[in-house]
Amino acid sequence: MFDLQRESEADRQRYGTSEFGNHCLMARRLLEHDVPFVQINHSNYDTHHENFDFHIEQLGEFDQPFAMLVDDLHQRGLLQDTLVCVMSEFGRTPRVNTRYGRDHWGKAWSIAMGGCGIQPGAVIGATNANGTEVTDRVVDHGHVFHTILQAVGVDSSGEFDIAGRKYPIGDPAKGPIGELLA
Amino acid sequence: MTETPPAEASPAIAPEQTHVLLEQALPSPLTACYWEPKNRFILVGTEEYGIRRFHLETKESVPMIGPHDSWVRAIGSSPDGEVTYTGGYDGRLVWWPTAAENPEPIRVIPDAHQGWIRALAVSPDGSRIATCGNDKMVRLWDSQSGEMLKCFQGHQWHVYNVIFSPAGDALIACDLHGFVKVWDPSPNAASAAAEAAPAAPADPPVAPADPAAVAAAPAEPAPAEPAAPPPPPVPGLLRELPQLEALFKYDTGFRADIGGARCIAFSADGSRLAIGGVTNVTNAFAGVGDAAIVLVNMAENKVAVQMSPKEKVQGTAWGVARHPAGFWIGLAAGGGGGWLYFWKDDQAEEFFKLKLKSDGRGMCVSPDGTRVAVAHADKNLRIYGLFAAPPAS
Repeated sequence: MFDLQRESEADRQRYGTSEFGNHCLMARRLLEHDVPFVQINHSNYDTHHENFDFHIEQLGEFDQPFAMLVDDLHQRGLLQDTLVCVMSEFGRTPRVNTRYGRDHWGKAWSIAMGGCGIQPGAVIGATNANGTEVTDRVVDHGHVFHTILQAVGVDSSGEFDIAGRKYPIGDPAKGPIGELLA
Repeated sequence: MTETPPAEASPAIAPEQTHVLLEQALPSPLTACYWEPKNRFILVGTEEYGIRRFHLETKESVPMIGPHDSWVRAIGSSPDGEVTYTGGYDGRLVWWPTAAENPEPIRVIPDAHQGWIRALAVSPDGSRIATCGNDKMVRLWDSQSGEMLKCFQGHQWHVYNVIFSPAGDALIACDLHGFVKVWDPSPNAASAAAEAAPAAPADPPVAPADPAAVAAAPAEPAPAEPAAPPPPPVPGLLRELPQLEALFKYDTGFRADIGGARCIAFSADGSRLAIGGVTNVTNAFAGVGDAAIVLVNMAENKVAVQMSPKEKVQGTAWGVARHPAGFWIGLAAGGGGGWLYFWKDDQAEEFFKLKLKSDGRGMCVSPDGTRVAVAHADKNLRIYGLFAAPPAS
């Protein structure tokens, strides 16, 4: 399952030769073999210096393989029961620092979701013009986890048990982003 | 060619006496600056997606904003200063009437490059404009008609800077990995856009061996595998300089390239080419490295010296200029703050340095050589006098 040489040369070309490209192709193979959860990391966006120089390379590396993965999942009908999330733990400062860098920004940033259980084309929430504050529909990680779980059919209001101790599956104080769910 | 000393009426150049003459706040952080040849204006790149024309006498700043949709860091002009050229991160190349009361663009080439234009240069006779950018291309434009004359294709990485030789017979470009290529800007030069790459020249004919001589010769070891044929010539490429390894690093921690020519300048006689950037990088994403300017001996095709701050200060060299009095000026900025450095010919260590109030992002020297302007990240354009300040009254 982990041997990408089993894929056609054309497919390996489509995904590119980067590590991230290989991992996207491997993710497709894993999902095709019913692996229930796949995480691909694409690291190194922490650009306190020359943000735009580095991101233009990172995003260039990200775009093509990710587009190939989503396209292939769609072509194979796998998006009907696969939820795809692109997310990070925080964003970058709207203000550019003196070294053309962007620092950590936890007040407002975007994530993307698609596939199983998600309403196509929905845009939820908004920020002010400069992206410094959320002006519409504030949500946090608690809402996002409820949304992910409910999109794939898990009752996030339930509990799970570890050594006899009950833990909530999702934050009881939060709920899903209902208008994002299909 | 000898370097022209400052005009007689100018104050005596004394770099060790450099001091702030003017501090002018503008509406946004600055990205670049260019001193107009007639000494009327400084054209300043700003984060407003355009430039501002700063009038040296009136101190008025006139926005030249509109056709660009991103930052402008490439600024130049015709030799008489009447037409200004700007290149933006939007890939647009724009012609402006420099001194117009309300400058409106004369010409806009929307897709001069695919992606960022990182730098532009104007030929000494003003007839051609060279641009380079993230599409890995170096392009040559007719400054009168706006027609693209040449497209030089051969860099494998984003092209960070470009400059004409003082004689105008060579166009030098340096990319992210520190590869420096010398292109032919002459009208009859080949280029990727003008014509298809010519076929590789055939190997020179080899004279058939004399059978008698072969028979008499002692047995020799089996011949080695024939060498691979040389790659086909790159259209328009005159030669390559050694890779400036000091100005490039692949940061294995962040899996990212860092380097390139952040600034470039020639000595007036064309014998030395200075290319500045960052070296000794230990953390690319935090910009932890040292400013450095590599001086290339053009005749010998080798690095003459690496000019660096004597006391290591984190930063990148964002500006370099050759002063007519025969020394080099460098602008460094980064974690260690902003600095101006002054080096003598082929000397690795500076003879003077000046701490600046803020990080600088671009630098230019006045036509008479008496002043240096720095575009600062704190929104200020500062002009520094390279001479003794008059005694305080």
